[in-house]
Amino acid sequence: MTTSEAAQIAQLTQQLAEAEATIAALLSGQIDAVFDAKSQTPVLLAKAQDALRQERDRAQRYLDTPEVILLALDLDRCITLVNRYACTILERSADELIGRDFADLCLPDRIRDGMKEKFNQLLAGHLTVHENAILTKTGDERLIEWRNTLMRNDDGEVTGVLSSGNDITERREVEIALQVSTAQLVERTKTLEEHATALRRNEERKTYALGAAHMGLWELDTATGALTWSATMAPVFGLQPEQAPATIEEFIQLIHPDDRHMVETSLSQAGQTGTDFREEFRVVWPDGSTHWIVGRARMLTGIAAGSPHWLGIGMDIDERKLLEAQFRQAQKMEAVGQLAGGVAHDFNNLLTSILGYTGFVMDTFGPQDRRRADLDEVVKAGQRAAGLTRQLLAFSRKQVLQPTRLDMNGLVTGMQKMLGRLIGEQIELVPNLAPGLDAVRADSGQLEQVLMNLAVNARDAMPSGGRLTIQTANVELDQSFLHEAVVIPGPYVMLAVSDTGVGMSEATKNRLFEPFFTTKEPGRGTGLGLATVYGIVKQSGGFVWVYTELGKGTAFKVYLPRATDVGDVVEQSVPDRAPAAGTETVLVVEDETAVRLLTCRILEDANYRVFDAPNPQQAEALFDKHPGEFHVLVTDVVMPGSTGPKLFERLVRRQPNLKVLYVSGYTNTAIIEDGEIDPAMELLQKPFSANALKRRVREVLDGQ
Amino acid sequence: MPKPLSPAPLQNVTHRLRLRLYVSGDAPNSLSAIANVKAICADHFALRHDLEIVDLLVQPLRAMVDGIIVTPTLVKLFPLPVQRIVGNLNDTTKVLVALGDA
Repeated sequence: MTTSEAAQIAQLTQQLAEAEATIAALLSGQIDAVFDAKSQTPVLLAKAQDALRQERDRAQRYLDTPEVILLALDLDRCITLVNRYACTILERSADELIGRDFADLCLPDRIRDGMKEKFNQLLAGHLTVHENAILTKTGDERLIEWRNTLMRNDDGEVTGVLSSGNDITERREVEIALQVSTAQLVERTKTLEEHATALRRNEERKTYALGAAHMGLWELDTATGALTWSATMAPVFGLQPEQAPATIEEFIQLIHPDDRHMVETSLSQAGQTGTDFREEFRVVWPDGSTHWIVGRARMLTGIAAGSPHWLGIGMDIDERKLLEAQFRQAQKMEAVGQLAGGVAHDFNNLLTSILGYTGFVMDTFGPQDRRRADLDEVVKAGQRAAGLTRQLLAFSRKQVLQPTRLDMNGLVTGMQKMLGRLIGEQIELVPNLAPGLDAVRADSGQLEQVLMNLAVNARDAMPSGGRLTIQTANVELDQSFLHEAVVIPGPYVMLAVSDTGVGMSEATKNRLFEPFFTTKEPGRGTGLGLATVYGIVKQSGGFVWVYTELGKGTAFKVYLPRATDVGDVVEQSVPDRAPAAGTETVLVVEDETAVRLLTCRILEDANYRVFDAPNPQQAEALFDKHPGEFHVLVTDVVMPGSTGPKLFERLVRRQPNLKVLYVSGYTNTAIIEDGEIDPAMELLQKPFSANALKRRVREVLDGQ
Repeated sequence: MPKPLSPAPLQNVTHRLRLRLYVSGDAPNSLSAIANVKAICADHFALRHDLEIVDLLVQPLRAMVDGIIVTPTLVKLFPLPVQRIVGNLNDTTKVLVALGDA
């Protein structure tokens, strides 16, 4: 080693010592400034220390940032650093925490093991944001959301975990509360929507129901006088919705003047007494027509906010009023019909014997005897009376119909000449017959009666001449005729008889079909013509309607159901034939003694061998006493205890070749459906003439 | 122009202790060092020392020229060898050892 080399070593050794001393001084804080040999700028350590201190303070402040937990754990989970906020949350001092196992000290038992595993994952680099509960010193739990970074030494080895945590206990509670209330809100919104939908649907239903029922709702605020109508109310008053009245006064003005006072009084009484208002009254539509309405209303005082309200409904009851009137009319007709039918039945029996015995007396006088002519007048009067009773029976619908398939056009054509004579030359007869007209099922004799009565009525309505139109047509009646009358919808044949006469008032029209109601001067009419029409048409399952206008004329329209079955042939009236006699044995059954005796006498006079019985029981006994002797049974239809058809049924079983002739004033619906009798059945109507009886018995015996 | 720090020319001039203290204004360690060195000199080298105080904040170039890295630094310029003591000089014994007086 050279001297210079030794000097160099000594110098380096000194420099090293100086460097070490400088470092020691630096480390012990005895240095004020450091000078960089390459720059002229000194680094004042005091300032640097200030800066460092500030930096440290800033770091400390950051550490102590409220709301953020800072925690450093080493590899054994021991706490190496905590900030003030962490201490606050954990309710422990830093001294209590530093050096302790975080998991053991600050985690609830239930998650401790899981979190230890989680810590190992963190150390392995799985740095996720996670949240978990921590335990405070007093045993409360807080929910913390953690963010983690790994701490490494200069060699890059992991030395621990630095975690920052936010206390999200309250936030989570708020979130949960928010979720709950959001869910509740969604639920409530859904419920509200459902209610709204249901309300809308109900409203639609209500409007439809109200409209279909011709009903409207109204509401009146008594404080403001404001009147509200439902959309369905206006049509009840014949108004457009925008024409609805806004006040009670305007509303009252819509009421018929004659009913206004009554409605106002009733409404005010109901308001004062707290009872319900209910009145039927008329309203006048803008077109001037009058319509019936039923109004119901109630004063509502219980509405929480506001003055008492009237809540009411108005309903169009025109249809009901019409039906009520029709029902009353029908009831009246029914009652009168029953009365007339009963009278006619008894009267028939009287007439039968009057005419019969008168005939016997007449036969005892010679052709030139004045007393015979007198008795002839008795017979004529009796026959007129018989005609009346027949009409009464027709009206009361208790006569026996023998309906067949019938061509209405043929019937009209056949009667045309006779009708022309009937109405006279001053009146023009105009037939207007539809080609291809369907057949009806009706009794031809009765329909002739209908047409004749209507023609006579038309003639009397045209005293100074005019035109009588007889029209036929196929028509379909449906429910739209409901405003006219109660109709069974279906195919009908119409027979219309119209005149150009004086027409009728409403009052006359209403009583038109009542028996004995007549506008003709005394002696000219019986008042039975139209009643007969009514009865026959009703009994045939049809309807008769009247259209009339004063001074212009009247049209009667008869609707009869179209016949659906085929096979019947049109029956023509039987021509008069010579009286017939015979020697066969006859059994007469009749509860009316006068009629029975008369019947027996007529038949005895015709040389028949006659037995008689007043009731079916005696008849049966008599029949058994003379087995095989009787050729024909002549029996009343309706008798006490049984009926003619039932009696015949029993007897014909014992003697199959027995013939039968029924005699009847009317038949009972209990025995023969709808008052109709099988056209094949042999029937003689009371009152009958001696010739008619003899002829029918002969016909039956001869099997015609 | 600062004097070049070279012990050789001074060696033959005098045997008096020559000290130079580099400080940074009134920074705390600098003030302590000034006070300490004055006290030590007064106590141990009362009449045979020269003390020069260089404020490097005023003369920053001296640091570069004299090779001063930190303040306070006390340099014993004479007698040789040149010795440097850094720090606030609170440890009097250590200072005296360095000055070769103990």
